[in-house]
Amino acid sequence: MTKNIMIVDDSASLRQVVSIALKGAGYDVVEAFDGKDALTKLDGRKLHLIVSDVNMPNMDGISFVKAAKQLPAYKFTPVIMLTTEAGDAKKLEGQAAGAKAWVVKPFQPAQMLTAVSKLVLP
Amino acid sequence: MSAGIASALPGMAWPDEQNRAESAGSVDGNPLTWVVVPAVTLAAIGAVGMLIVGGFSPTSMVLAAFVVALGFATAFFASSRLKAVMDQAHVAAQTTLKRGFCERKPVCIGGLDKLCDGVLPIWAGQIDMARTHTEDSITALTTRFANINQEIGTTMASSQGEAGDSLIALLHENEVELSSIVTTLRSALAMKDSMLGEVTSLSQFTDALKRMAQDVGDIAKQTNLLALNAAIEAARAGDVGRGFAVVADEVRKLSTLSGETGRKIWETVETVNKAIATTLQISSQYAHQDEEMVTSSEKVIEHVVGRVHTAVVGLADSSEELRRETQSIGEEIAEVLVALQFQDRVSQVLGHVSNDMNKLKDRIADPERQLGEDGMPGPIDATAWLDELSHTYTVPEQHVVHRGGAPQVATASEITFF
Repeated sequence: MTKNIMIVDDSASLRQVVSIALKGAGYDVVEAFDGKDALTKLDGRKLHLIVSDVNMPNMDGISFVKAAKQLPAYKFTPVIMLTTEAGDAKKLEGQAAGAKAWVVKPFQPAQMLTAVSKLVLP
Repeated sequence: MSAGIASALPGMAWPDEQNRAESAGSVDGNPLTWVVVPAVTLAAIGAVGMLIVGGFSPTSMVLAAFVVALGFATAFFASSRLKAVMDQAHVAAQTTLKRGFCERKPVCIGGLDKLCDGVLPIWAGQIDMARTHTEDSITALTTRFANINQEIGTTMASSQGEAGDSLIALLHENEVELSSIVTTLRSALAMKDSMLGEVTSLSQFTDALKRMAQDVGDIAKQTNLLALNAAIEAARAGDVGRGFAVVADEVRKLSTLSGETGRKIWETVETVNKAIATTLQISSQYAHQDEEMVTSSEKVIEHVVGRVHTAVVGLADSSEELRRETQSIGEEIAEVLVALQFQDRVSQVLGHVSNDMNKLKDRIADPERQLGEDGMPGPIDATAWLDELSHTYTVPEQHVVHRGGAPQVATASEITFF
């Protein structure tokens, strides 16, 4: 059965790049362009992992992760933050919100896929 | 006014000239003192003199009053004119002063605010346009790249791997089967040889049989002679030997029979021998042909097997080459995927620049919020502005450039697991 991964980022080109990398490894990909849009797409569909940017309009990544963890269907869905931010303070915020990993852009596809395969739900 | 200008150009040495200008315009408060006071005094003196000269007559009092009035009127008129002239001079002095200052200090450029009001939105607009252009074209490029990537994947999967491997396996099977044909032929020949060997060894037995047949014949002859002798003796014995003569006769018959049998055995053995000889002769004729046929078949098969083997090796080599190419293409694709991520960074940086330009334009166009106590537009705190700007940064290189450093191209860093 193919696993579903959601990518949340306001940059269309970056969503595409993540999509290419994940689809190449056999995952199905759902795209969202900010935190609000992502929440509307958490409509009960099965997700095995979420990859989210931090700096986005309307609702940023940290707030989105906090909100997503409140939903019972997605409480245990692992989240990887993917962002240009590299500061320790922001990383701690992400950890506190419930993220499982922090990837600083730009990412190497091979490393990203390793992290995904480590964390993705069975 | 002075306070406003002084604080607008912080850290400047302004005092002396300004104070001189100010003091030039305000001699202890009222500059009109030198006009009003003398005029009124003169009028008063004139009035008093007239009164004294006229002897305090009504006419003289009227004239005195008239003089006083004239004096006040003159004072009033002259002072107002003088005030106007002085104000003009004051303003002119201030302007000259300011212009002088502006010429010396480049930060104060006349018309700068109007320029900013006009050009900042244009700059911001151009940046936004460039940002949108690159975002659109990179997105289109990435889509095409995704398609190419998919096609490469499909082609690779179909040309190598399963199809190639199964063909190689098939060719190997053929090789093995062809080789087994030679083996079968050879073993067929070997079986034929061993069969002929068996047949040849039969002839040993026929020789023995012939000898035995000969012996039987000899025994029959001897027995015949013996029977003849017995018949002669029986005849010599007369009547007494008549019984014996019958026996001798029977014996002679038996010996003739066995002689016949012996001859028949001999003839049969001869026939068998002839058959064996013929078989061996024919076999030896064809043996040579068989050997040749097998040898040439062997050669043909060897040749075919050799070609198949070469084809298999060639196929395996190109399969290997294809595998290596696939791997190297995979590495190239990974590099492309890293490079395409820079569009996102560029977009963020340009967005911050454009926002700040718009913010500056708004600030310049709307200074009412920050009027100083003298009614002039308040100054812009550059340090605070830059600090606010640095707090909008989301990309690390922005901080490097902000501090005046040379930014390095960001490379993929390690992943932090929580």
